[in-house]
Parts: sequence; C-alpha cells; structure tokens
Amino acid sequence: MQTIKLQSSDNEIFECDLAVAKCSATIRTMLEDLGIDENSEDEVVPLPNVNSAILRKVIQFCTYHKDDPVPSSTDDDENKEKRTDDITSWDADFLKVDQGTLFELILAANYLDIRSLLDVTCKTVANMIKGKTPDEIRKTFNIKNDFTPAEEEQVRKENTWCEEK
Amino acid sequence: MDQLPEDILIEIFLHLDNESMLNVMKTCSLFCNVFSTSSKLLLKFNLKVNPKNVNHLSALLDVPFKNITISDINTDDDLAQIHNFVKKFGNFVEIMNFKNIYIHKIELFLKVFGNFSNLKELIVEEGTVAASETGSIPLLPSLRSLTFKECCQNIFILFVQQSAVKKVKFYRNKISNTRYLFDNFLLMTAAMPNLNHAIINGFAASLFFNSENFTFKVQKFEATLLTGWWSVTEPRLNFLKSQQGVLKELTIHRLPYDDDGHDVLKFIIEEMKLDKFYLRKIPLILDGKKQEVKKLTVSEYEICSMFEMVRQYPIQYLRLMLTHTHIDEPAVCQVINPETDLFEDLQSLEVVDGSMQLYNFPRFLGLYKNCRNIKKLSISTNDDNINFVLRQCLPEMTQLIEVNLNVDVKKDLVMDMLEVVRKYVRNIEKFGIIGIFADDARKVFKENVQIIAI
Repeated sequence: MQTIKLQSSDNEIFECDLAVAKCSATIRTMLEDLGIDENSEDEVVPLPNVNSAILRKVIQFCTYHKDDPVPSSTDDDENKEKRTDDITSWDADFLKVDQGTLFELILAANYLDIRSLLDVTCKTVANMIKGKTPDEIRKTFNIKNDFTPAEEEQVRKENTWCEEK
Repeated sequence: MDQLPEDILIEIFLHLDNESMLNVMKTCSLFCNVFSTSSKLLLKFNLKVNPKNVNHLSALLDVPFKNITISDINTDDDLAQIHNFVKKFGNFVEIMNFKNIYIHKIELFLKVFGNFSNLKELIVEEGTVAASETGSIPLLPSLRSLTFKECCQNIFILFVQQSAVKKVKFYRNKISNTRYLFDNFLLMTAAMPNLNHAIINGFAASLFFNSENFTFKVQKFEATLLTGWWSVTEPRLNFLKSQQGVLKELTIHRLPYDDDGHDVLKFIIEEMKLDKFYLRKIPLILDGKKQEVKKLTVSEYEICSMFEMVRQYPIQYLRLMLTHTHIDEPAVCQVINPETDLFEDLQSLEVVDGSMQLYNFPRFLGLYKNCRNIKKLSISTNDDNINFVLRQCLPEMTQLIEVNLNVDVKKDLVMDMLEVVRKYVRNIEKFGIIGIFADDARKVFKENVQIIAI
C-alpha cells in the first residue's frame, strides 16, 4: 500500500494512504503540478493552512470515505433543493465537535478541496440555523447585531415577514 | 461564523429554506451583504410580496432581489402599492411569480412590467384579466419561460409580444361548466418563433387538442392527456401530425384515452419518428429505439391503448386500476373484452378496483380470462361478484402459483372464495389474504402453501 507524508501548519507529520490523501483535489494537484514523487519516502507535502488537530480529523474522514463513489455534478443538481436531512449517522457522530472545530473543518475542506467534507459540514451549520429567529441565530453563533437602531426598529416591524410562507 | 469567507457562507446559506434565509438576512449587516452580492443566493431566495406586507419591506430595498412572488392583488390600489415597491429593484428580477392576481386595468399592470427588463422566467398562477381590457406587455428581451396555472383565457393576450420565449407551460386542473378556449393561447404562441418546448398539463387541459389550427411546432412536448373531445378522434392526431418532423421528445402522463386510443399510440410509436417518448418517467423510446417495457399500470380509460402497449412491448406485469366510470354499454364491454392471445406472455395481473358501487370489476371478465398464462394474480376489491369472477377465471389460469386477494366482503363470501381458490389453483404456493382471515385460510390450504396476511 502506497503512503504519503503530510505536514501540518504546526509541523506535525502524518503518514497516510495515498488513496486517502487523494480525496483532496488540492493534494492531487500538488502531486501532479509540483512533480512530487509519490514513491519517494522523503517527500513531504506541506499543508500550511491546516493544523495538526484538524488534519487528523480530515484524515479520519477521508479514510472512512475513501471508497465512496464520486458524485457527479450537473446543472440540474445546482437547481435542485439542497437537502440537509441526509447526513449519515457516522458523519453526524464525526461532526459532534465544538463550533470552532466545525468551522476549522469547513475551512480545511475548502482549502484541501474535499467536496464531500465541505458539503456535510455546511449542511451541519445550515441545520444549526434552520428554524431559528435572527436573535437565536446571533446567540448560537455569537454574532453581534450591528444594525443601527433605526434599522433594528425596521427589522422589529418586519417580523411579520416570517409569517409569510 | 462571521469569520468564515464569503464563498463558504454562500455555500452554507444555499442549504437553507426560504424562511431561514430571510432570518439570516436579518441577523447582521454582513450576512445581509452576502445575500445582496451573491447571484446564486438571490436566485434561490424568493421574496414574497403582497399588499399586506409591502409597506414593511422598505429596509430590504437595497437588496437586488432576483426572485420574487407577488400575490393577492385584487384591486388597482393593491397593484399601485406593489408598483411603488418593485420599481426600485425591478431591473434585477429574473424570476417572478404572480399568484392570485385580478387585473382590472391593464394600463397599470403594464407600468409594473415596465420595470422587469431582465426577467427570464414568469409564472402566473390564478391570474385573471377583466374581459373589457385589452393590451399587451412590451417585449421583455430576456424572457425565456412562461408558466400559466389555472389562469383565465384573457391572460394570454398580455403576452402576444413575447417573441423571445422558448418554453411555455400551461396547467389547468379545474373543470368549469364553460368550455375553456385555447384561441388566445394559440394567438400568443403564434408570436413566439423561438418556442421549442411546450407543456400542456392538467386534466382540464385536454380540450387543447380540439383546436383547429396549431400555431407552433416544438421539439419537446409534454401533456397529461392526449385527448380531444370525447368520441372526436381526429383532433389529437391532427396535433401530432402538425408536429411531425420537428417534435423529438414527447412525454405523456396517461396513455391516449377512448376507443381509438390504440390508433393514436400506434401513430406515435410508428409514425412520429421520435428520439424520446416517455409515459410518465418510463422511457418507451430512447435514441429512436423502442425500449423493453415489462411493467404497465393503466386505468380503464386507457384500456384500448393498453392493448396496443401489449402489442408493441413485452409487457409481463399488468396493473389495472378501475375507477368509477360508467361502463355499462354492451359496445364498450365488447371493446374492453376482445378475445385475444395478446396476453400469452403476461406473468402477473393485478386488479385494483376503486370503482366503488359501480361494479366495474366483473365487467372486465373477458380481459382477465385472456391472461391465461399468469403465475401471479392479485385482486383488491370490495365487489360481491368476486367469487363469480374467480369461478370463471381460475380454471383458465392453469399456471398460477400465487394468488393475493385483498377482498373486503362478508365472511361467508370469503369462506366460499377460499374454497374456490383451493379447488381451481392446483399448484398454489403462496396465498395472500387480509389478516383476519389468515387462520381460516391455513385450515383450507395444505401445509406447504405459504399464507400471507395482507
């Protein structure tokens, strides 16, 4: 089994299966474009935007999903209602993490271009928003209400919008 | 969360429903700005505007909405209010839905439309134009798709200048006492030289095929029913002939009705030279080639087409749905029960009788008897004639190994039914019956027969 070494931003080295690493389109491109020899034991792929804690989680996710079929994306898919109720129990358990870790996983999935991880993490955040009022959303994510008092008054008046289905 | 880059926030917000999107916009100025600048989000988020809420939406005027629904416009004042609101951002709108709108004065309505220069898709639902009003919306150069749901016949005149439209969808399910005329619809489509996709859906839309002159030729056509006026057989063939050579893809939701349904279906399959032909989602023709269709569900309305389907395709599983049509004329009974060997290859027959007190179930006796090689028979009925039908059919069906009777009749009839099945289905392996009679069935049948409680 071929392996590859990945280096996190805090200089920890992770040795993982090549097939697992190649779940990341970014790593695939680096191997191809930078001419990194997949067979060389000394070559290390630096990942300066991902720390060791998050990279460990990412490798765990990719190891579990490495044999999943690659979903095809079409224009029709773009227009389809995006579901958020189809998260598997393994993924749901995997994403039982604090908000900071969840957002770091999103950023890592985005940087490493791992579509399935990005998709499931975004769905998880969307599920945390669904059904909440603006005030509850602010409390959940610790967001400051930066509307001016006049805008705030307007928003208060406009609460009737929510009743419009 | 507000530290995440904009493209990630967009990705997250795209997973939200309409109401949650609105709440996110109201959370903070950053999120509101993300919506304002994302074309994807603005196309997905549908702003619902009506005379009751329009005065409370002023804070959103800076958001260049692309997808709006305007509803419940019943007076000129309602329309004027909406006009004042949408004129601020009308140029951005790409998708618009008008729902429940009564147009008293076209002049005012045209003012509203003057703002929608980038409109690509328009849906009008329950739209009415006062009979005295005439006039049409000036050309909207980006408008590609028009949908009409349960609209009055006058509405189409509004759109006779929309020559950029490529797709028209008409939907009508409400059956009215007065005949719905398609003259204005055809007048509108005559002015659409780029039209290549038409959809005529709904059970009350079938009179479309009774039109005298079809003003368009399309590459793609879909219809719930390919039916003209009852017993008038020419119009729908006239329509199909008018599309010959141009039409490449046809979808129908029901097989052609009536006693000439088989001729219409045969014409479609053999003469139209279609690339694609679908019955609902079942491909009957793909890439110009007939597909192998083995399962078919039909109602009694489609019975003549069903015969043609069995001629054209190797149907092995037939599901017959009986509804409450009056089938009592001998001529009709003869048409639906011809003696035929068409069903020699049929493996499974399922009859779902929803005809209630009209007793249509036994009227198809001749058809059942034609299915003499089936291995599986399933019947769902509450018709007291069940035992009469079984006594007539079962001796003919010598290959039967499975019988399922979801029959809701009196107990003495059920007991008689068990005896009839036992007597005539010699090689039975599986017998399904409603749960309360499963024990009775176990007493009647040998131990090696699997009894299934339905």
